[in-house]
Amino acid sequence: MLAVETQDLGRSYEPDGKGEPVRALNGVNLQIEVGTVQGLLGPNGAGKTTLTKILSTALLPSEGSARILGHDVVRETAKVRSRIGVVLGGDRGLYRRLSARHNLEYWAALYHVHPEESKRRIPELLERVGLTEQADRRVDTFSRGMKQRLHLARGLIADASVLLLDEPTIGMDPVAAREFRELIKELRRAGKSILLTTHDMEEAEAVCDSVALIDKGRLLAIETPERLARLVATIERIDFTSRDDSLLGRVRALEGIVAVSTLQAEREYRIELAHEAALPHVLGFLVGAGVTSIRTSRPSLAEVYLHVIGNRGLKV
Amino acid sequence: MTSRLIQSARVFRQGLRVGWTDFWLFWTWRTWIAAWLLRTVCSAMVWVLLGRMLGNPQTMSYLLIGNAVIAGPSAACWTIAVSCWDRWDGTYSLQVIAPSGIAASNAGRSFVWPLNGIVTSWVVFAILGVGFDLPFPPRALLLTPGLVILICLSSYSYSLFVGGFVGLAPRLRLMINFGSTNVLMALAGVSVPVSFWPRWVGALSQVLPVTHGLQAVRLAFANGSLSEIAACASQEILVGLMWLALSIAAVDRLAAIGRRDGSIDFVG
Repeated sequence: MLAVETQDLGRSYEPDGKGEPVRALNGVNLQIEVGTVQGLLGPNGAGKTTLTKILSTALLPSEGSARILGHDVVRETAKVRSRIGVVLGGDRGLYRRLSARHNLEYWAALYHVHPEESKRRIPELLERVGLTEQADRRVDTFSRGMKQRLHLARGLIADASVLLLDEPTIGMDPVAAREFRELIKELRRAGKSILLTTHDMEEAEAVCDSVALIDKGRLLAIETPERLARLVATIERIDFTSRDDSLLGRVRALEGIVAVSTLQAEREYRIELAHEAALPHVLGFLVGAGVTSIRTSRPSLAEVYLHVIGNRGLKV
Repeated sequence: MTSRLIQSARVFRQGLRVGWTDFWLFWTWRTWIAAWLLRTVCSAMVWVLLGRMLGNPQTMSYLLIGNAVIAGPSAACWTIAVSCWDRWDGTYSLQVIAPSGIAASNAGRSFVWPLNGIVTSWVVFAILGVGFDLPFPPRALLLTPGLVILICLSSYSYSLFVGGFVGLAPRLRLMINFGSTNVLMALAGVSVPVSFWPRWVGALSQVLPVTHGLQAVRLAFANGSLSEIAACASQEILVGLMWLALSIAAVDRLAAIGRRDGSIDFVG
């Protein structure tokens, strides 16, 4: 059984209730295996939150279907709700005047966690997200990162099998974000299935088994982070330094060259190859031309993202 | 069924803690007495003084009982204005997608307002009753506190229903709040007898909270029979249950509409 499965999932809306319908989500087919972490990368307005809302039963799809652990989000809403935990980004979604502990007690009741179980689980969760010492402080005295960690604890309160995390590290400092990633890995080891929407490449690369790129409501690619990087890296890249300006023209004329660009550092250049086979003769040419500083590399996920989606809403 | 009721009671209690905390961060005992209570007493007293100026003790008693009672529902109606707070806090969407649903937590969060109304009405009754020598027959002394609780609870059910719709137009929340309170003040026999109104308005008042409960209070002060009082109280209970059922249906229906039209937002 799949943790999450969508088939031709779509959602349209009419801006301001009139005019031509806008497709926020269009023909999305996504499958998440049980016990895996699926990243969903895309710029603002790409459809990430719309997909999360449909899966979390906050929004009905206009077309297609979505299932959580085999249960249809439209027809079996109650079953879906008892199997998911949702974590939202930002500092909303908490009762600011209550303490962290009271917030968790509140949500434990809404998720039908037995009182005895919640007495055991709440201190454990607070410990896990590093808020034990702040447990009885009012949430409106928390930093944004602390609120975000409390959000995460809130999403875990029901010990749900499927977690939908919508930009969960927004506002976290780098240390907290790193700890969060460790927590995700821990949850994965515990058999949880996770959909993580983000526009943080580093995060997706660090924790996801698979990454889906989404833009304008469409899934553009679903691959492992490494394979996704290889989508545009069937070609190798060569970075080199040269003081000879005329060299660039000669490099461009070589066979198997896609592009030659200037990097940020002075006199540093990047060659993108059309195929791996071009590598030996281009390297041979550079060495023959007296270039001594040469290195080859593959693009990071961030560069893949830029390649596929373009430079919109990117955070690395 | 029993376990669902226990779960709902637990959710309600948690919601009440949120509402209680909100309430006491806004008010302190001093500000509650000096601002809230004093204003309510003065507002009711204006009507009682009008009654005294008319020189008719019966009219004065009528206005005193009506305005002391309505102090409770007026407070309970604040439920309407606070109904959109969960949307502002960004917690509404999370409540909707929680297994318990939204009705019990929503009711719990605003329940502090009918509680405030009950205490307010009791105090206004005591102050104005003593201040204007209102005769308290034993039956009235015994039954009025309970009837006030009943009236505040039925008004609360009515407010929950109206408050459900405030989420669709949060900017109008105060207007809807005061408008709904004014409907009760005008039509439920507070200062003007129900019989004053045209027949169709009188019919409308029969399905409003306060009307029958207030009638029961007036009967208690007039040494009416217990069966008459019980009949009026029963009608008030029925009206309250009707509004409660409507409010639960409306809250769920509005959540379903929000799910369809996309108005359930993940941000506040």
